[in-house]
Amino acid sequence: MPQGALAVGMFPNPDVGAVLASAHNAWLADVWLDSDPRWKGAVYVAPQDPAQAVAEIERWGSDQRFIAVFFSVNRALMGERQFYPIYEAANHYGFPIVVHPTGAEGIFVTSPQVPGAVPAQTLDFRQGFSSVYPMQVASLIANGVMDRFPTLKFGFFECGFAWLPDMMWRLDSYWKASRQETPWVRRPPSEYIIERVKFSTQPFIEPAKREQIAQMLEMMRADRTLVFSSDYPHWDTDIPTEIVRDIPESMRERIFVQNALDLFGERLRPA
Amino acid sequence: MEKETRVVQTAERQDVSTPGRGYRLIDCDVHPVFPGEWADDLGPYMTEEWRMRLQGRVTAGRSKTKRELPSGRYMMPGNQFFPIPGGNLRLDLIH
Repeated sequence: MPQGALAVGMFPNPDVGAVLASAHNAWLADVWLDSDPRWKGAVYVAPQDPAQAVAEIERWGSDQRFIAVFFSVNRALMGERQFYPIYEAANHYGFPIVVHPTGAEGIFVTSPQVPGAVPAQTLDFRQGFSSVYPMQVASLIANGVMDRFPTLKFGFFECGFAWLPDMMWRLDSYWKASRQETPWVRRPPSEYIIERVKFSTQPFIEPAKREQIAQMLEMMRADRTLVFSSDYPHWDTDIPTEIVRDIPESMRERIFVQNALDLFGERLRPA
Repeated sequence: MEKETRVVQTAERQDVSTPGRGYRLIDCDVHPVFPGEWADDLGPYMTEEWRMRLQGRVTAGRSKTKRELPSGRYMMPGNQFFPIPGGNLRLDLIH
């Protein structure tokens, strides 16, 4: 994930966003991906100009060091049709679309919008991550992206995950009641999520009763939906040796390895 | 009105013994850090025109007096209003 440059999707001038994303990809390949084969990168795109985003995906699509498309979320919702060319290009190369908080949620007119108004403190600013990104997942499903691109997968990293059970129950319930309006949503929304959307562990949940962690992981189908992430080297980094004990033994291989392989596919497998 | 401030001790995690090593993992969220200013690090990967615009430097003067001067530049949109009190990076983990 880009560091210090997560928000190129917010530049009002789409050319600035595209130039920065493109330069970041070249820098990442040159400085990091060449330094160790264990590093894999995401093709960074500024979605406010889908044509330039597609060109950037095509530029790196055959480079096996890149395994995903990083979509810098902005004010728009991801289910909007303007983004279909980006999804089509990513799908063509077998890239999932991955998302990460930009660090500018709710701040600018072009930012992902936080409900209400602009947060005042760091505390409520960070809570915004858990309100912005569930809406993006709902938008993808409600607008038919999952059926239009039936092999495309999505990763929502550092966006939280404890909200997922409630979201799946809610969407499934409204799906039954609103099928006349959205006939292109052919299956219960939770099925799309469980099969094709992944969420990351960091920041990991810390309930007062630790046995509730396993209950939460079971409710959200973490055996299919959760991947490990550290967010290194950020201030709220999760250390894997500390969270592994909170994850039931039966889920560890899925969360630490297999779910990431499911998301990123063959490009992530060692040669 | 002056706000009352005090240091809050967050709960310590329990059971921090190191579990058995040797398990595999794939870390899906690692951030490559720019060693310097982002505009300087990315500068070599863009055209001269964009480099001038994004780095915010112009060349002024002639012959022996020629020098670079700061000019208007772009800022990266970010959480300037919500800084993390201890800094954004775990410097103790970077080596």
